[in-house]
Amino acid sequence: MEDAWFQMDYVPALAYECEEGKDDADDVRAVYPSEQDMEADKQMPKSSSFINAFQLIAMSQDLDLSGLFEEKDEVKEKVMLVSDHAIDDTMTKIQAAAADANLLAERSNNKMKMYPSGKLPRRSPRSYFFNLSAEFCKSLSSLLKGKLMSCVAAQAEEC
Amino acid sequence: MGCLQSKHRRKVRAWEDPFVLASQTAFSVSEVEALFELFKSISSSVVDDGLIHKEEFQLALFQNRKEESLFASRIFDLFDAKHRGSIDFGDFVRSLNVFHPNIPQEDKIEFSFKLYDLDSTGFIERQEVRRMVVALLRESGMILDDESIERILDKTFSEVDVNRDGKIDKLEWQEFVSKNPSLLKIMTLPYLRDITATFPSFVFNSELEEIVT
Repeated sequence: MEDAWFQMDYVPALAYECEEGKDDADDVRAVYPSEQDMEADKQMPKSSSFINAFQLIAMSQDLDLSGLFEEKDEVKEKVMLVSDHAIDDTMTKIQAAAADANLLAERSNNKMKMYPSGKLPRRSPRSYFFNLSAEFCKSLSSLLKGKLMSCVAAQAEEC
Repeated sequence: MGCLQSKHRRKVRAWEDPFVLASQTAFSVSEVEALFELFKSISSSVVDDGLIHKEEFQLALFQNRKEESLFASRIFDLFDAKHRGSIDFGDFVRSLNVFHPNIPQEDKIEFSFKLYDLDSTGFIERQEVRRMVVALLRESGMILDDESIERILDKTFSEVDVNRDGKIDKLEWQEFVSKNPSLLKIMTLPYLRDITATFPSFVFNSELEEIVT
């Protein structure tokens, strides 16, 4: 490196301190933007024009009454399990977990379709589904337990 | 009429008669009956008394969320038209009716005004809008400093509060929403147009069946 050949036209890199008044948190957020920042960026253009409060409020999921009607397709909170096993192996485990939770599992290539094997209870079908999926999740995670890498869930208790 | 004789032999009150409700709303009789199945499921989840209480409403909307939601609470209060602390079937159908796609804009505008008028003073005040913005931010996990919130409120009021009295009255709200119709998207549930097709898994008793058996 000391060779003159390397030294020619070499200009050492200069570091600039161009942001004043920024605290550490900002720097961290700049490098690792959190989901919140991404959301904020999407919804709040950093121009001088601010969003109207009512447009913001109208984005509320809490104002969405479709939750009253959702049954099987309610996937407001997704549970994601990651498996270290091979695909076929994982699929077999999913089928086993499904059987444990009284669900029928149908495999088509790399997709799995599941539905309850018995008849739906007339009363509160929604909570029945909720319990089924909780059971399934528990069963599956214990089957994958040895090599379970991570379990990202909005309902952490279920994992 | 007795057409809603469920297994619980719940007496049908006159104002909850499906034919009456169908005549007062955009729903057909069989749609009202389908809504009754939904109502039964929601109203029996915590206390089985034929009424939807706030916890049952919350449960139906959010499944397992524990904290109370400002918006859900407000909607509950509006559905509880008779101010009894619970929603009966008539309230349920008539309130959902406002969300039907065929219902005129004026009704939706009126409902949304009442929705945002948190303390029911007949005006939407700045502190109420702030409360709702804060609730939205908390719900979505967005972070905004107080100054930004105030600037949003400033901009909002300069746009909506035409007479500059610091609050939004019904007329100002109507004008503003007419210019920004997307704000009313929360006031329409498209699938209400065809409930019986949307919820085929709901098994319901129709009057015809009753006659046969």
